[in-house]
Amino acid sequence: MIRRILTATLVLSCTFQVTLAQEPAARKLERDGLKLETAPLAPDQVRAFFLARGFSAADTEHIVSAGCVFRSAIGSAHAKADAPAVTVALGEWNVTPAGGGVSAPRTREQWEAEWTKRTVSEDAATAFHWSLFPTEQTFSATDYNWGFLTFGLAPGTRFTLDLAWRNGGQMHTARMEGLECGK
Amino acid sequence: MRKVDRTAGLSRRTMIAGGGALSAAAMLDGGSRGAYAASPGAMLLQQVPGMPAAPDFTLPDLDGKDVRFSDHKGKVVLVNFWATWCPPCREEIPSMERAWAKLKEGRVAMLAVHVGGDSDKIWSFLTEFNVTFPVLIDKSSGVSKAWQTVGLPTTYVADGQGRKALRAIGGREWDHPDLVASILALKS
Repeated sequence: MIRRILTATLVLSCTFQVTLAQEPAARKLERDGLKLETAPLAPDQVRAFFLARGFSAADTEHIVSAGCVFRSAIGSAHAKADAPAVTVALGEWNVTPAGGGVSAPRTREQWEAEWTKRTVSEDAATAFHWSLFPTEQTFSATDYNWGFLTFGLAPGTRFTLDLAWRNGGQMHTARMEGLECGK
Repeated sequence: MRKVDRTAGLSRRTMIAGGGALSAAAMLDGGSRGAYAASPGAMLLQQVPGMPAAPDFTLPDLDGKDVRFSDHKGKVVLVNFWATWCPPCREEIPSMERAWAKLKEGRVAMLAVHVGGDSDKIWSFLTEFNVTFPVLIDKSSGVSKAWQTVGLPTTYVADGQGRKALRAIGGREWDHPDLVASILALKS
């Protein structure tokens, strides 16, 4: 299911013309209760999606230049109803670009503060909120969510992502190296 | 083309559906929708701990008529939070329409709450998918947040006393017999 949703996300976010063969391979992770796929969006894909949601050209370029948008599908890998809950909190993730400096992924709340300053329309800001992966979410068995991850880096930046999640309260971690923002 | 199930007159939805306009959503989706139909594995509904009272709301439908959640008291109500541009929402809508055909016979209400207010795109989407269940507009997404929805789609099933009884985060194949049975079981 998650792979299908990721593909669907790609279709929607690409909007018009995308050559799938040129897409960077999606990174996948499935262990200790977590199922995750993620892949970078190219700047034109980001433009197409957010312009269609009502963002101005200037605000869309701001997302392109400072967003580093990845599409993602994340959820519980468990299939039995009595399985432990899986919690993902983006504040527990670390983004380390090749040039150094560590930060967490940018959250809905951080972006919303920015949209308020930039007086983005309510419709656009609402769509942005719901298109981003939540800051924290808990999944029961077979639950999943899709959404964009934003890493707050410039196009083409290479980085390492350290992920963390809790499976029934027990913390697990994983590292994804060599990720690159769309360019 | 199927008619829209409405009690009062010819709705805007009926007229647009009859027009058969090619939707922007169809262009976005291309011909690939069939390739990611919901998997049979994702069929669980989770019980909501403590079965809290669902927050009441009044939201406009696509004809501008206000619909109040608490007016459905006594009925099981499936409340689905979605958006036209959300891939898993799009994926589950056809199964939701098929489920609606079964559930309304069992006097179960269904309210699809669209997060955000892009009504033209919603109309196009509903036309494409021949949706006949009620769709409400949560322009500011305040109701969605009040229901503690954090991602789309999220679906709650409220029992006849207006309590959140079941929940699904992410898409489901809503006409699956197990899900339909779980929903109908709340009537007893």
